[in-house]
Amino acid sequence: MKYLVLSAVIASSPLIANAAGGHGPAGCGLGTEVIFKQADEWHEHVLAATTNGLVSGNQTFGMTSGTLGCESANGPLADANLFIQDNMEQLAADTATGQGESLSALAEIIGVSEQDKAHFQAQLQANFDRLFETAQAQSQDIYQSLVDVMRQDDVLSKYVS
Amino acid sequence: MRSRALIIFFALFTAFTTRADNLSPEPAQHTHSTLEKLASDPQWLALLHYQRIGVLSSYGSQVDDKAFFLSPDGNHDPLAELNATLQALKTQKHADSPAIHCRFPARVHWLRTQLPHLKMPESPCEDFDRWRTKIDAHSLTLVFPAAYLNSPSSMFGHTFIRINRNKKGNPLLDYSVNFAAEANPSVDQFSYAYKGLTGGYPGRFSVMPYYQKVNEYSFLESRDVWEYPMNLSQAEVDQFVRHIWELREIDFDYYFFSENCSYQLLTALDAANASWGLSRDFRFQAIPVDTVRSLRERNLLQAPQFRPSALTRLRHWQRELGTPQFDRVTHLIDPEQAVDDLRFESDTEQARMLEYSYHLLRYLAVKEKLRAPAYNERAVALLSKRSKLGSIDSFSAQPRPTFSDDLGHGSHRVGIHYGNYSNEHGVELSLRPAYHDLLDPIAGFIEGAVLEMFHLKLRYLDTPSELDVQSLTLINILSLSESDAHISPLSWGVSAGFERSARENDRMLGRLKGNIGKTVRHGNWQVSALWELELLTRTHRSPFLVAATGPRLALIRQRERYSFQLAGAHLHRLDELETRRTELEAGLAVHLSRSYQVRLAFEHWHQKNGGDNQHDAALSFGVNHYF
Repeated sequence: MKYLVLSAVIASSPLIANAAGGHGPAGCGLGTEVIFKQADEWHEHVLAATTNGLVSGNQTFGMTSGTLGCESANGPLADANLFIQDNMEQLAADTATGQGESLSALAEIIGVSEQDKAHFQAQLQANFDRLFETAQAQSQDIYQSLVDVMRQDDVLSKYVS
Repeated sequence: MRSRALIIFFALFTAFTTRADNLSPEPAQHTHSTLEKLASDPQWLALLHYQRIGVLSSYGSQVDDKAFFLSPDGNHDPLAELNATLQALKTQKHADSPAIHCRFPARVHWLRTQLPHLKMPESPCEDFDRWRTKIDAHSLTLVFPAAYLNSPSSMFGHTFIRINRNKKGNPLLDYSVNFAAEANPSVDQFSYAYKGLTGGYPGRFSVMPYYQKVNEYSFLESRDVWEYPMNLSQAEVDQFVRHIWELREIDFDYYFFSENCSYQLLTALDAANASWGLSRDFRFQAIPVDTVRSLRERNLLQAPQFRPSALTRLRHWQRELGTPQFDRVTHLIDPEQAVDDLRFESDTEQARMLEYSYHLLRYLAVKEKLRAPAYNERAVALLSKRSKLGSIDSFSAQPRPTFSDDLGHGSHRVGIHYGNYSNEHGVELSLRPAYHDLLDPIAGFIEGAVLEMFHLKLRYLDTPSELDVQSLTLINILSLSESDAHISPLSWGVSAGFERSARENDRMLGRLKGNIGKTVRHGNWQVSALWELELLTRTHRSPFLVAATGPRLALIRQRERYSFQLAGAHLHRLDELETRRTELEAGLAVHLSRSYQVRLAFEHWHQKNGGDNQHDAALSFGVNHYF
């Protein structure tokens, strides 16, 4: 499980990844453990020289099924769950302002029509506190709150029925 | 249950159809000469990654992975591989192993265009088809995260490809194709660096959602990204996607300078259409921006779009906020202060301050790992407050820089300078294969960034009339990142090389230099205060190692038409404290065009050792050419 943290770095840095259990639900292994990405001191970078964008991990070929790499047995909403998990910080920022590229992408995954999109974004913004209750909110909680918010809305309920 | 039934159905179907193939009449026998011609076709060779690299290496495939070939001789005998492929197409038996046209769809597709009578297995390719449907390729975009000096592994930049879906949706949900070294995290960091240079890593292609790359570059590394839509036909796009499938889980040797991310992207594009011959230009080194230029020269790229990094956007917002607001930002990002304490003139102003403060916290959290948890609650509080203000357009859109990186000066530089060196007239030749210094034209480069490699200076003096090596700089990195009230990255520099020194009877010395400090901006000027440590090695007298240390100050102005630098340092020798040296250097360069500049340089040093004084000066004028 991933918490809403200011940076994915925190969640995937070796120190904390163990405590947080590394990457999200099994089978949704989109995340690649990116080595040295958390290097922010120049000497760490010097050591990391010459290895440009090291990645390891076996699920780095978009091989798993589903739009975004997770078994989408439950349709687009399962993809939404995964997208939220991988984009929590940006989604929180976009939700607060009621617009943005990540929020648009979420609307697209859920299948929100062009005409309902503005309403979707405004509703999420109005429910920011419900969605991102605390800094400890987990992606699963955010996803569940999203479904609840949509279910209780006349326009959006059709997308989660 | 339903899916299991489907699988059984497919298995039976595959088994049935392959058997049917075996029973069908043999395809017309291809003559030996047809096959030989085909095996030496540039397209076949490109599909097998046959490339010449360097001077000595023999002709063969760059792929060493046996899984990439059907013939045991496949990586050095293209005809053997062709025969093995045709044979496999004919005799495909195993319903349970991936059929040849499913494992190597690009090769088989091309062979079909060359041999129209080729009999094809009809079994479906379940995995490949599902993957291809998901990728849904319509067009390609070359993505170029700009140079990132704070990470030497990325200091020249990086390139990868985004596959745009047919469904014109949000680009974040498109897939991207990336080539990178893949390392075992259990290996220690020193081995990483060494292996990166010597080819000890396997390099692999990966395919992942574009949002992952955006998160990585825009937020974690704070690198600006240029996105160039590519001019490819649908057939070329399809063949590229087929070839990427062939490369999955295939190990390449990764070399930092030559067979790197940008180079292998070109070989993959060549496999889609060998007539481009993209990889041929980069046999010795592939600097990412040069590969972008190469694609542009072949008319494969359209004008790029700009995706600003988190830091670039913060700097833009800062300019809109104005300086007096900075105190309020300090208040807003401080977890000890109440979020509601401040009064704002308007909702727009409040929205701006909250958004800026949140993004600043997010940027700081990446930089200061330990304090990040404290920032978290605060960040959510800021966003919560912002969400109550509703829909407000807070900041203006990020302006696109005038010059994309590929429009900057060429990576290679030669120069000829005439001057007075230690009271002797002479000519200096300068050869620098890469990449940029503070006086080179700034368009397309980052201010305050220097990256030079293998810079050789030769000097011909009137007396004695001979050509001598003046200096050889192996590497010179300087990263002067600007600090402000909230963001204060370290400025740092490292350089290593050899230099002839007038202080040591014109002997060649080894020199290693490090700098660390801070840089601030004042209008169009950058002012840097650094602490310098210099190590010199000399073989002609003891001590062998001489260390000196002291402050260095630099004043820099980099404009579109000219660049100026004034720097001074005062160094004390650590083993003889009474020996002090003061250095002064000044340079002015006027940029005549993208490829030419004239440069005026002055250097002076003065060394005091008790009563013993030494000094020297050089003044030179010359032309630099970039290509």
